[in-house]
Amino acid sequence: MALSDRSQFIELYSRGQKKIYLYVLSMVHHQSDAEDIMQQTASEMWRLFDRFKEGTNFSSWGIAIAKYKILSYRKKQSANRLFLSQEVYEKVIQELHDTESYSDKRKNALQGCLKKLHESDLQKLSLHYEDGLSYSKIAQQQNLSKSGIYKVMARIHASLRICIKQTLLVWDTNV
Amino acid sequence: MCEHNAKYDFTELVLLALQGEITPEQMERLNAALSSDSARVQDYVELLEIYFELSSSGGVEVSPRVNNSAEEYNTFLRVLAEEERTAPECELLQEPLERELIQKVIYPPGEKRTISKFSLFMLLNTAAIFLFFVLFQFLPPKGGIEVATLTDSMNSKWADASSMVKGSRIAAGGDPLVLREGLIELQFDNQATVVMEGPARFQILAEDRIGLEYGKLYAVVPKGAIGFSVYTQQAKIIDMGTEFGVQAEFDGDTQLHVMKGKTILMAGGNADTGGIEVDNGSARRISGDTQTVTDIPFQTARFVRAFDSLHHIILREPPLLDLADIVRNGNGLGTGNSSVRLNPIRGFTYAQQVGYANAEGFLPVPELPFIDGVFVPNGRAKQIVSTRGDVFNECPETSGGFDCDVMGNPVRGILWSNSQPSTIQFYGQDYADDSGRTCIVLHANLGLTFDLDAIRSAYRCDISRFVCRVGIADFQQKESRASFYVLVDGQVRYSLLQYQERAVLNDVSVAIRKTDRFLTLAATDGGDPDNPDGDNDHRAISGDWCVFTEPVLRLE
Repeated sequence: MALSDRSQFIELYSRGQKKIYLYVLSMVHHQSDAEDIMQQTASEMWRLFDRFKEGTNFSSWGIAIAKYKILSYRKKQSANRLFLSQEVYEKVIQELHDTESYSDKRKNALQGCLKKLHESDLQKLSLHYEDGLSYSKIAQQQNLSKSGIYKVMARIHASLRICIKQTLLVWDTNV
Repeated sequence: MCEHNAKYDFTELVLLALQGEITPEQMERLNAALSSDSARVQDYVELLEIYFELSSSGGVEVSPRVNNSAEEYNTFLRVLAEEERTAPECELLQEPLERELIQKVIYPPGEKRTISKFSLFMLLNTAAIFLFFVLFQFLPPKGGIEVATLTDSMNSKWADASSMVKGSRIAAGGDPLVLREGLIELQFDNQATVVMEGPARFQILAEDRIGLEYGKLYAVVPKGAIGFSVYTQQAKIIDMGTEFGVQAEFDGDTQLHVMKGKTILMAGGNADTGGIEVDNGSARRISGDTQTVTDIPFQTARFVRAFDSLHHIILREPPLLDLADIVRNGNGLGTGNSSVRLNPIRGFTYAQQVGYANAEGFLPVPELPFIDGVFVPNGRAKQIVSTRGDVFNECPETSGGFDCDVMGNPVRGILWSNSQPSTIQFYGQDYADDSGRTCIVLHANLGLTFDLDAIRSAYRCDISRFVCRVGIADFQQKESRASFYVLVDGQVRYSLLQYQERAVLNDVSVAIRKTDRFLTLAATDGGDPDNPDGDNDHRAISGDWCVFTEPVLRLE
């Protein structure tokens, strides 16, 4: 890869990373495995960037590379990991395609919705996403059972999702 | 009663998958949910997006003090690329293309291992001894395995300062626990649920047994936990798939009230004698002195059956949830305020709508937990009736306007009609805020959507039916038509079209299924001619005082 192209790669990657990651995460639905695959995919994209045709869709190109990584991962992990049905994966891919254009709005809505959360809920999110603690560790720290922490986290995430939805509807109405 | 709210349950499955802790059975449930409901697929993608944005790769900070690591990382990459572009060239030592093979190792073919019967016997014995010591070492010291979780508490005070919080696990065979006051909910691992009212002294005896020295408890026992037992000083109550309440007094007196199903009651200190069956709707008292059993009047509201600390809800009976109270920003049990109004333009408000106005689209009302939103029904465009995007396909074309807010039990005399203050009346009875009767006023064109899942979640109940009576209030003598609709998830379940009668109520009864998510009430102008140039009396909505009286949800 020409050195001058590398800044371009980083620009493109910064913009397309989310779509590729969401694709990987939705196909693998296991956070740490998805991160490994994402790392491999990014490395492969970097290596093959010379072959990327300018003007074509960068994230679609990345997804095409990620697909092979995912296939290989599934083959290796078929005995250890659980997967959804092919029919479901196809629906998810379609949904990812449909929702793409709203992603920036949703990100802004999420920022607003976080501010509405109770402090104790924010703390739990922070322990997981910022301090990197597993749910089990958070449960220990917060004196909760393991099933308890899942229920709490489910409530928080569901609230955020609904809040984002409602916020977007209000914004769309006010436009 | 439902164990979980479906919304949270689905989210929990997604989180379990993300953490790599999902079981095959849970994965099957997740797959079923995603394949049967396209809305779930959208929920799934949205959850992953939240996960991404909050993770180190995403751009949203949970707490502002934390640096944006993703942005930093990208900046770092940019600097590296710039450095790479501008740095002086340097010569690299050429690495050998292939590593030199030092030695080729050939492994001998594996031998087939044989195990003699003696070896096998010794191996099993050793394993058993090992397991015995390991298990003994790690069992909780008081002999108890954790069998129950404290899932909720409300105003609870414990005798022991070091006592429990939500999520605490409780081991069998531990010391008795003393709840001085308040309410707690215990979820046993066999799925039996017990609500305890303080003051109470109790002890978890096993996964399917609880001892109650004194206090009140209410047990909900699903089929899988049949046999769940409550021990008091003078009695043993064995569940046969039921809901029942037990009250134990200091002096040993015990009362048993069976709300659902059947129990077996064994009286006497050792509780080993034969039992008597006590069926739903009946109650018994066991004397603390003589252990004799007598019939007593069954009291449905004697025990707290369920509560929700988040919404400050306490249920003593399966309630009829008053939707008019929910419109008034209440919890459905009479805590609302009649000054509250819902407006299709301003949403939640205390200010009265003045004059005629047009509104389009669906407006969410996030301030009210059980209300999804409001709208002005008009079939000229696709009429959305929920935040999920459910569409009211049969919505008629209307004038698209309204001149009144959605109100629950309007304050006496606050409605203005025929140039005078008016109050909703039917059959000589009024429905003002102080009347003891309830109603929702939807003067056409207005629609209102309730979030049934939010209600189920707060009350931990299923909803079986929506019931009300609809009619047009008669305080404005005018020949106009109006249409009433009751929708579930956008589908019409009841309609009364182009209705003209005044002061007559019509029964509405709509079954609610477990999968139903949104209940919508709507009133439209009935297709009357609309004259925008005249005064309000010439508008299509004029005189359409549509009222949903005694609107309730039946909970199970």
